[in-house]
Amino acid sequence: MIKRIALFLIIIFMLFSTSCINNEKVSNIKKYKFGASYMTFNNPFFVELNNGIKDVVEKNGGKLITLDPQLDIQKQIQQIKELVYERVDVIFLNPVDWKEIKPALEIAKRANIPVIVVDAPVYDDELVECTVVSDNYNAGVLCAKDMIKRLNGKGNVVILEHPSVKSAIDRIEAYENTIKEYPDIKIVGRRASDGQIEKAMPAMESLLKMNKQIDAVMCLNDPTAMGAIAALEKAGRLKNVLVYGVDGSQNAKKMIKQGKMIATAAQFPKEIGKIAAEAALRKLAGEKIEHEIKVPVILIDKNNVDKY
Amino acid sequence: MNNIVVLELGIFAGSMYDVPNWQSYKTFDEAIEKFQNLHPNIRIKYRSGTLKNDYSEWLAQKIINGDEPDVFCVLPGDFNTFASIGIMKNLDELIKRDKSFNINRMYLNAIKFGQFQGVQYAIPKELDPQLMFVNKTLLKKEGIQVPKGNWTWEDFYNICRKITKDTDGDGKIDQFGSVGFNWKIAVYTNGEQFFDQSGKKAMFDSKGVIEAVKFVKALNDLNQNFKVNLEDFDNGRVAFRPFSFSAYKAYKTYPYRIIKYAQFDWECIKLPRGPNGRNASELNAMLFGISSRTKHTKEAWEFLKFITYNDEIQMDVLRYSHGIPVLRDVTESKKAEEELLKYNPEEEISVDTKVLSDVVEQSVVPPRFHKYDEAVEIADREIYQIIKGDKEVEDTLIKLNSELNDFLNQ
Repeated sequence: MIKRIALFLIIIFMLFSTSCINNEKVSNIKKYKFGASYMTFNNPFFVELNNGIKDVVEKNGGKLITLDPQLDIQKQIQQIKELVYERVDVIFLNPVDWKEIKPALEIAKRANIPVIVVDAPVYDDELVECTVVSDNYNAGVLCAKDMIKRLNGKGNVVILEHPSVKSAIDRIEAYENTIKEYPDIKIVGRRASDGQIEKAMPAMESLLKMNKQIDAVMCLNDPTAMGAIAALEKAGRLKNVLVYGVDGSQNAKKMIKQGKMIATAAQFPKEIGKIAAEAALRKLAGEKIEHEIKVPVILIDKNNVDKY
Repeated sequence: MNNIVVLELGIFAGSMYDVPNWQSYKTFDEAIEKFQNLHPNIRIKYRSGTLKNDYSEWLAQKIINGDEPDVFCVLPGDFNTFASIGIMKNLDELIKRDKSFNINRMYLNAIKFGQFQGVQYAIPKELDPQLMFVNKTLLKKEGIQVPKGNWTWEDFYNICRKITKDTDGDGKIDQFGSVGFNWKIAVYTNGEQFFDQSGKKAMFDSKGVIEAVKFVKALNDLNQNFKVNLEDFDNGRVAFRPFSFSAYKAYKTYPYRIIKYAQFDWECIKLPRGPNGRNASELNAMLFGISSRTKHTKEAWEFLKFITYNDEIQMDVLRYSHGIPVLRDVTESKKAEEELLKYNPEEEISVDTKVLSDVVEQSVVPPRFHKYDEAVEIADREIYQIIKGDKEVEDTLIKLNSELNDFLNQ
């Protein structure tokens, strides 16, 4: 029996060795090992972002270890520790909580492993090498301006937010700053959804119970918008409420086409991933890299949805 | 402190069944907490975050390094390899000796799912049988009743024939009977297998398998060479599609029902049965085994038993996951019924606990042997040619059978 185990392990080892040799033939670049931890993989946005990183990493003969803490900050800190223990060359991080992630950043710093933050900044950004994010503030502005126009500057709105994540904080802050100039637009309620469809639906249901008149809902991302749409549809109130999200996901585009959602401020997750991975390779090649890279966003509604 | 035993558990993040699951760790974290309270001398730890797609490679690396987890999830595609190289402990003796573990509380098919050549190497924590998705809106439009649970291939074919048509008069068929009802599902719903239990004999020349392939070809011929795809299905132009219970559970209720299949009414029923078969196909399951190299066999068994045999943990399968408990009495309990009612509160329930138990019991567990996946791949390629119409059914299957017998006995 032991012999059979040994045989199987040798076979696996051979397979791995062969792929290494092939990779070395393809590229002369040192085979780097990268780690990534995203707040959740239950959001297609992060799957795409990870694909953007993976494409670049694998094209250059490297390997990417991707981990999902399912929105648990303690699990994410532990994951960063493990990536440090595994001696990865660079860590890509999308923090569950922009402040509480600090101990993990310190551990990576002490180990001299550069951290590249993707999609959502960290509070202690001096501990990271580079942050690649969408123009989150503008995402909030774009949604607010469109909403103001459609409401003719008057209406009751609610907000679904994620207060522990900086990208979400920026979007909502921009939205609130933009509508501030319109005193007849009133924020009548707000709830946290953690960016999850599963939490957004009950959050929206609770807002619907408390507010007879809601004209629009601003959601920090598209999964949250899906949860809001589900609650509105179930309550029979969808046709009276304008739903906004951020991401530009396939599901949001589908909802816009079906007339269930007004607009989404589209991000480009694959592009963010690609830029982050290229920055990592440049860093490893000894180049100086930018401390912050911003990727523009655009508003998608029924007028331009077919283009994207 | 010296008496504390630390067990490592091998699991991955996300859904076993590739449906949305944002808190797959919840059920494990709660189970671990309850278990540790009952066994203060045992601590369970696990590496969080490994994606399902990366899990097999991660586990293989751990095996190479000689530090695989004491208890680990075994993906169905890895089970035959792991069992054949002896990395999983033979559980027969542990099961026999443990008077507090009555394996007969589990579905017989759940038990079989963890067996390799007659030896119990793993036990499922949860199950996922196949059902049939029915587009009720399309059937209603065509004046056809939703079939009842005991329906046959003949009923299925007749409905598909009526449904398949050109609705916009452009000369091309644009409405279809089914998608995804492949030759394997046909063989299983005809009560047949395509290999014997030992994995040494192919059975593609049997009457039942030939009948199944002919049926799938006939179904396919209705579409006149048009290749029906999942986009047609999503757009409401297809009446039937084999559909897992896990997908039913994920997409039947809010919030996910707005994302998939929201444009039409739908329901799930049992699969249609062939002349010699039953209304069920292949079973899927989330399996757990114990490393044959663990230093803590007793503790590992206690934990494996806890996640597969504890009533509360098994009820959590219905609460937090998308599978079905492996304990029959839990699946058929009042509490389970209440959980299931959440999925269809306003309508007549087609998938109740009795239906689920029936489907699990009638499902098929394919024989387990090392060359299984390769052999199925060879068969797949050849049968694809038959269904496309390039090859004759019976002669090709007889020839394929002979080739596969050579392959299996090499």
